[in-house]
Amino acid sequence: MRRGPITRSIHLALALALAASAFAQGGAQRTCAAVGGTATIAQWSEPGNLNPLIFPTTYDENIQELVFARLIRPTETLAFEPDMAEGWEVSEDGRTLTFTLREGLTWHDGQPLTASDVAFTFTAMAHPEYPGGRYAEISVLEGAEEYHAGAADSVSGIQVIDDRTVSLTTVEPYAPILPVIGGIYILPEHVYGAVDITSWQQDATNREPVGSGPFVFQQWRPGEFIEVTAFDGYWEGRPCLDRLIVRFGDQNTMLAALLNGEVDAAPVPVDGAANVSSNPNLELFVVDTLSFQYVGTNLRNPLLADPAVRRAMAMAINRDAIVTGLLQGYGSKLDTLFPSNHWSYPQDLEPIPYDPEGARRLLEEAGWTLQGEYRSKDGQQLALTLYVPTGNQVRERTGPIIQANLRQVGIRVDIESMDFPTLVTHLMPTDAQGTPRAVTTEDFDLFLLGFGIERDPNEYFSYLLPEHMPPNGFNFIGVDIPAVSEAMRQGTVTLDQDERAALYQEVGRLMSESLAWIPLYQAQELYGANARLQGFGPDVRGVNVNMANWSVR
Amino acid sequence: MLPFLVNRLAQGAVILVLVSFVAFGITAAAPGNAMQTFIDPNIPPAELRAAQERLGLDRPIHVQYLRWVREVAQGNLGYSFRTGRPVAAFVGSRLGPTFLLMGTAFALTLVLALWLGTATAARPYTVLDYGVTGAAFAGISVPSFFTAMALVYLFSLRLGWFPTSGFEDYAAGHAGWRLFVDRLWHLVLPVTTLVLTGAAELVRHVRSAVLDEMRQDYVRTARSKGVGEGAVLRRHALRNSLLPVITLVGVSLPRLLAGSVIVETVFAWPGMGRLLVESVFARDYPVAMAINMLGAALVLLGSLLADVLYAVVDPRVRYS
Repeated sequence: MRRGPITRSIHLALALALAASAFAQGGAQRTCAAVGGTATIAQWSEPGNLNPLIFPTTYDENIQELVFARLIRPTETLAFEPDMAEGWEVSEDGRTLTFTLREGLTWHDGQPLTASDVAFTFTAMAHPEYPGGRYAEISVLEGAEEYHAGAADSVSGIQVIDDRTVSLTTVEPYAPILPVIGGIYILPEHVYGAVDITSWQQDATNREPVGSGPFVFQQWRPGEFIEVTAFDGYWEGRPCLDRLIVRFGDQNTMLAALLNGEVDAAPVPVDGAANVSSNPNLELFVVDTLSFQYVGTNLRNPLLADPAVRRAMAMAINRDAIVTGLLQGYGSKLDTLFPSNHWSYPQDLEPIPYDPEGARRLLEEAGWTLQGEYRSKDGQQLALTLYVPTGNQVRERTGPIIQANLRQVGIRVDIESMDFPTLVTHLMPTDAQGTPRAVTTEDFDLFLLGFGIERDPNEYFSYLLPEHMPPNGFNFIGVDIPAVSEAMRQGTVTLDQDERAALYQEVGRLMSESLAWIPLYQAQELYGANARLQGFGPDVRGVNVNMANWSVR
Repeated sequence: MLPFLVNRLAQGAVILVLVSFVAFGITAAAPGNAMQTFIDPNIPPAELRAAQERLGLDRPIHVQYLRWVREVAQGNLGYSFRTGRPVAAFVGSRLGPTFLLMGTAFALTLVLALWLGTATAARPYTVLDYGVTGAAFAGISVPSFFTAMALVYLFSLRLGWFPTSGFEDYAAGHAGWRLFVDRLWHLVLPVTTLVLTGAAELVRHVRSAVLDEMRQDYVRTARSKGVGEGAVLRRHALRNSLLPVITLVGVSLPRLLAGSVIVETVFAWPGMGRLLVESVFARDYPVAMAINMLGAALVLLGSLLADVLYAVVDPRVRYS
């Protein structure tokens, strides 16, 4: 099941324009291969908590997706379709979106779900004491800043019109508003409203969520599993399964459990792919993702500020060998900082060749001459340290390959391995008093890291703009390309999808020339599923995307 | 005996305070903190900083330590940074599975090591002795994760006798005696792993301790009186060789509750060892500290217990 690239397939503007007619048919009846039974799936890490508004991680979201529902949700082509809202309308000025909820929505505890639950959820994210970290996403709503600062009693841009209608108004037209709304699970006001927001991080509602999604939360045994059961009142029809169990464990442990038939589906590490595909009871699913790995370069370092050095590094790294060797072909290389299957990726991009000879020539021309094994210029050796975060086995193994590749062209690379929080202390340094400070040349040279589009390329904003260098953002490397900044700014206010795609593709072209991020590879995700489990179909949106349609034989 | 106990407990309390100081220092000295594990483009650094302030992570280490001590003194172990769970209940829920796993393994290890150790000491330099010694060295040399994976491969994937991992068959939802049997079934492979590695070490100690005693004059006396070889071994030599074994048992006590990081991880066992690793990687200090302190308290308790058992086993030992 390999999927080709999704090319320019989100048509946000189109979606906005057609919004008035986007009312879907309600009361859909589900077709199940079988009804009832219990399926067990596995994930590699246990969720931290199940309140979607408290610092969610992917492992949290995989479970939250079972229990909660949103107003709108992404389609397979990453446009947005109605979920609990049956449709939405956009105002003339493009600032106000009015959502109409489906009729008869209820929470798992039987209470009716109304527009005030929606308003409650969005308002909570702007509360001055809200502890969950997601305020920035909705800070574009009118009146959010005033409410967040404690200067207003409510957010003026969130209006309940009647029980089934709610409107959201932004200060300016905001292009990625649908991706924002499509990323927020609605919380029941009668449950979470009864808990003081300052104690949300610790409250028991994090462990016993009440939602309106396809499955009702039953129990969570820490270190073991989470159990959910079918919600009879789910708007899209009751899920096919009676019960779904999600186990947590180490990669190889869960692979063994999959091979032994103890779990029906599990993520598979690359090394286990052959075991799964050769097992007659199992099917291997290969899924494209929107994430990729890159080498970050500290542009404050004079060695790395030289574009010839960055270009030579990119040409010297044998990315084909990484894809065919380490990834065993389950992935592809990419030539700029957008995932190649996303509409922001410029398909006409000039590929970065694997050309060690050309890399040597570039370095020679830039004045870097060989002194023994490594190159020097003005008495300074071309020596860099590469920080490799642990936790992703394939990525860890690319470190020594990059080191060997770069040695062949005369660049000396020393590797330092560290866990992710340690790497963060280098990328976002603090001074002796613990106060965050700006990055300097000494903090790091090169680092390996992954990045992925969760919902919208606007997520690169704080990684690419000069005013977002640490401590004010995630522009660790210190990139400052005016044309990139301008295109990124235009990207947030340009509503026409084609124009918007052109802007990000321009960013992609410029960053491929700059190579401040040296793009490496885009790994595919592998899952194994037992033949007993039917309808399992992970895609670019995640592993549990169609869980309501799963059934067991 | 009583003054001795009081004295030792007082010492223990002082040591615990010192341990907490060092443990907190080392934990906090690890680069990065809990909030820095969340680098998410949708969450700006200002939000991360606010969260760090709420958790007190922006304060100097000694301030964080004193606050932790103050809370603990009031019986409040705090909340997990990562999950928001109350630490006492969170860590407490992991005690049972670890105790079950480590307790079973330890009892079996003891029985196996005493049996094989005595048997080999009774017939040193025979085929049995060389066989057991060879197996023991193999057991000590092979890392437990390898033993665990080899057992899973053989007994789960090849033969299909035992489940690969977990505490019970979650999908089946057993109750009553069926649940009991199911859990025993899940216990077999992790316990076997622990026994194979643990007994390998202990059997060597028992063998040499018993051999030492067999050369003593009183053993010769017993033999010359006509006491049978089996009785010499069991009633005389083995009893006297228990002293070093008791020390080992004493210091092994903390392992009963602290769990085995590797075995719990490989078998997805919901115990303390796995929780400790997860909390260290997540920089979840309140949880890591609670487990560290529990471990330290058990080490102290274990060595105290060993000392008391000395007096019970060996009448020559008197504490005054």
